[in-house]
Amino acid sequence: MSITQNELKRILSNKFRLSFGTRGTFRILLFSDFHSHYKHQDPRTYEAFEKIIDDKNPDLVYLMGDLPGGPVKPAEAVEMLSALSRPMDKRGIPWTLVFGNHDDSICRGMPMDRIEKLMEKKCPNCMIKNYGKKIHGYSNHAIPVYRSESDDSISFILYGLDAGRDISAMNEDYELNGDIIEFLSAPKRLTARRRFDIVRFDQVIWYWELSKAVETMNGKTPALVMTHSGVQELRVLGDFPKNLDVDGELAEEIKVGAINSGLFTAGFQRGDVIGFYCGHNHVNTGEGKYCGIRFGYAGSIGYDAYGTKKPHSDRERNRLRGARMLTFDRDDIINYRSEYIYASDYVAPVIEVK
Amino acid sequence: MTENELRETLKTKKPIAFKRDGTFRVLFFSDIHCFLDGGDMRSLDAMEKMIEEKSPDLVLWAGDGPAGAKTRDDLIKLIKVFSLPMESRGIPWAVTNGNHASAACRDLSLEEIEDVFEKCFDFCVTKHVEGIHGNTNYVLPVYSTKDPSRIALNVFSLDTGNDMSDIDGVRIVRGRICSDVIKRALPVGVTAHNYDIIRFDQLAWYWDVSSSVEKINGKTPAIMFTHCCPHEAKIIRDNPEETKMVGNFTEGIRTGPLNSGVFATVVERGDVIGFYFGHNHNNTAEGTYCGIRMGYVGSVGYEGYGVSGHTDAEKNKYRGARLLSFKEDDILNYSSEYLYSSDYVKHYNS
Repeated sequence: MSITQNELKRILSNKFRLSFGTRGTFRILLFSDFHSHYKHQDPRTYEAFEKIIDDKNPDLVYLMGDLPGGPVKPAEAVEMLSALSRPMDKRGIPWTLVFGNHDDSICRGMPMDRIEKLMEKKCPNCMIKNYGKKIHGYSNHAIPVYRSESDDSISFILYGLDAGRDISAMNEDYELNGDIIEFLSAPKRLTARRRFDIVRFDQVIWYWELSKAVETMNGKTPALVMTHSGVQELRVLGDFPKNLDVDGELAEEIKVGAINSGLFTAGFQRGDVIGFYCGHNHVNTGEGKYCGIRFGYAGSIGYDAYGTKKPHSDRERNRLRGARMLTFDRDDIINYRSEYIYASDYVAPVIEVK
Repeated sequence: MTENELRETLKTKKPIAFKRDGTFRVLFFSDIHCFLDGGDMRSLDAMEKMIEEKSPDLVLWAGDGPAGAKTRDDLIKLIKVFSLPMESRGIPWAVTNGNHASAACRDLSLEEIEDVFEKCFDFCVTKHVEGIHGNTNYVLPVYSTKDPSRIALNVFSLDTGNDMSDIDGVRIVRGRICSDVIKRALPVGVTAHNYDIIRFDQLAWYWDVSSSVEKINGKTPAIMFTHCCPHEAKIIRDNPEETKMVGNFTEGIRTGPLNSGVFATVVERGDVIGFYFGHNHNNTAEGTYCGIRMGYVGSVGYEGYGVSGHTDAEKNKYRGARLLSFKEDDILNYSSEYLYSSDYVKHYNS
């Protein structure tokens, strides 16, 4: 697979052309793991979501997957998506998404490609699209951020890759007879839990070829890679928090895909990736630097999702809810600022009834 | 890959095919660590006797073979001695580079050493691919005996490279790697796992060849061999029962610092049924994970390090080689056995 310049143009043209404005900074807010049904949800999820957006005024909102709390009835899917995109629509902020392992529940029984099309159609500000059927996954897309409204040089680029749903798809695709799952019960495991699919090799090749094509056109271009569940190398954050300058908390096991797809090593070898961001582990909010690349969690904004293991105290359980904000300076992309925003600074805890 | 490119990729100096009785045997030797001034010649003796007894159809050196030659002529002389068991019988043989590959010859570059293997021996079928990392990246098609135009089995070699200084910006810390940036904050004295890895362009090459072969030949079973193991070898060690492990892990798993993704790649491509490697002299284990048999081929070189022990017999306890026996009508269920050198040459108890 190699990507022609024509194909590259098609991949890089999106619903919106994002660029640095006159102020010379570009802000991205990452929200992950809403796990909320628009009707029966803890109102704080959307309250915090809106207030953080209002306060930070981002140029792009990036949702890191796992929107629904459970399978959404087809009749309600559009309403849920409207509720979700309303905060951005109202303010005219572009947003996008990479799918998480639960996002086949956005509309019960609907195949992923139609869910993806539904979002493209029904959410006016949503930039999601998919490269196509040639590779695995459904929200594989690239968003370039240009140097200015009139300048066509790309300052940095966001690669979204679909890390897939649960491991059963891999077991079926490769006739593994549950071989990977069996190891969940094995006594000593290489990594924590491995119930999830991975970014597949054809997706990694797609990133690799795309990155090369971008380099041909634009020179080496700093990149962020966004996935729902992260790369296996995340575990070094947990193993060497001091050495990796980990900022934030790793309050739960690092849960990643079943086998190491080599995505991190590919990004490292291409030399353009400056950050890997993911969600999926709701109460991990850490970010550190490994092999010169920043690895970070986007946390979880969803109050209906699992929280820390403190079931008796609402304050404790939701202590780490929040979002991650990345702020880029036009003249110093590589040293962008990354900060975890706590939802508790925006919404009040529920008064506890004992 | 175009059909012409593929045809070129599949060419071998000598034809390799299943025997008329429908069998095919591969014998792996690894970590021979042999020198021109001889040293402990039991390495060669064991190789000779194993080949005589097992009569393999293909011999594969899984890295870290010849060492210490000064000139090109010395290197040729050295390889001649150790390839005699194959050359004298007309058995095709091939090599994959180990991390000590560049120590084979003082005067020659890795490309020139590769050239010696490719040009100077009648039965050495080693090849290389231009334009990607590493030298010993190639595929050897093994043809069917029933239908001589059909490939029954592919043998892939990927070069796991030399040492890690070839990877920019990477340093190791207690067996894990970290960037230059954080190295400053860490204790000194880190040397383990100091190897390069299979690079992404090598994986993409394998993927391309395997997909192209599938188009003309159907899904074709393959074995892959490298010098250093994929990270997933750990899963065999940590789950001996589930992986039906046979053999042992006497020493730690030492391999490149970053997970290249080679294992996930072969799982996804679906053609590799066996993955073999050397490098850790005292590991002889083999197990099955994700439907792929992964195993060490041990070390046949008496000049290489062994296990710690006071006697010669203790030190060389695990010396040996691995033999794979294929039947054309049941390739997936091939048999794999570890041959102990001590059954072929004398070990001393003092």
